[in-house]
Amino acid sequence: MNVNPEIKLDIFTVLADPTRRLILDALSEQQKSVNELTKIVQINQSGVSRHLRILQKIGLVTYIKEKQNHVYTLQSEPLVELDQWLEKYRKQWDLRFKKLEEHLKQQKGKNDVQR
Amino acid sequence: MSKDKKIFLRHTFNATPEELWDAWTDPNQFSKWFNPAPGYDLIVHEYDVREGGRIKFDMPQPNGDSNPQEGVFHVIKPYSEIVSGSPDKSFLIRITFEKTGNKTKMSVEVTGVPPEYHAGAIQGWNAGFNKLEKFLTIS
Repeated sequence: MNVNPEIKLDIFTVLADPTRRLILDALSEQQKSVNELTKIVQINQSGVSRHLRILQKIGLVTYIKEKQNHVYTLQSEPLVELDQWLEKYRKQWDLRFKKLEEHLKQQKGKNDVQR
Repeated sequence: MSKDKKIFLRHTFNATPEELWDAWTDPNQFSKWFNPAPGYDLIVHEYDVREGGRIKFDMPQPNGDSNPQEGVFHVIKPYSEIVSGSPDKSFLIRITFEKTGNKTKMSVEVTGVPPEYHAGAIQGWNAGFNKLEKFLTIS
């Protein structure tokens, strides 16, 4: 597959694909060869290789050559980063919820005074 | 736009759906709480609450960044649903209100990568985000 270097692959796009998530799930148990992965995800080998190349580009997998096989291993670092990113984003909303709660309380106070 | 890239948040408020609706749709109220930076309000420039109406505000940060934000309202269903985001819908925030007894459950569904994080304007965010970009960019 030709990956257009102009297009930024972000982790959200990469993880949005169900086949790629299946591959990552399989690799989270233990390292696997392309053949083993092909059996698990049940698409042809060139399809699996294409997904693996994308996963490798974004740093989610690495491979070593063992005899004739490429054996792939999961790299969790980008996932940890994503997790921290989401955590920060959630915290922003938690802060908003707190401010909104406080604001609603003040609004109620105002309305009571008006009555 | 993939349906998988979503973040869900939920919070139950001690308020009616009408009170929450006003807090979202009255720019004077909205400006008081939407900026997550404690002690900082929004500076609202445009807030045209109708489908297709424009949104434009600054979300000032403690480090002095004005953090300008722009968007459009896509869906306005009084007291039940607000969808806003980028005009091309690559980034969307869907808010829904559901009455539960005396309280109201507010759900937030975020689709796409929030533009404020591309700008990296939130204090303390830059370092983490730059690191992430390194991982996520095909060179």
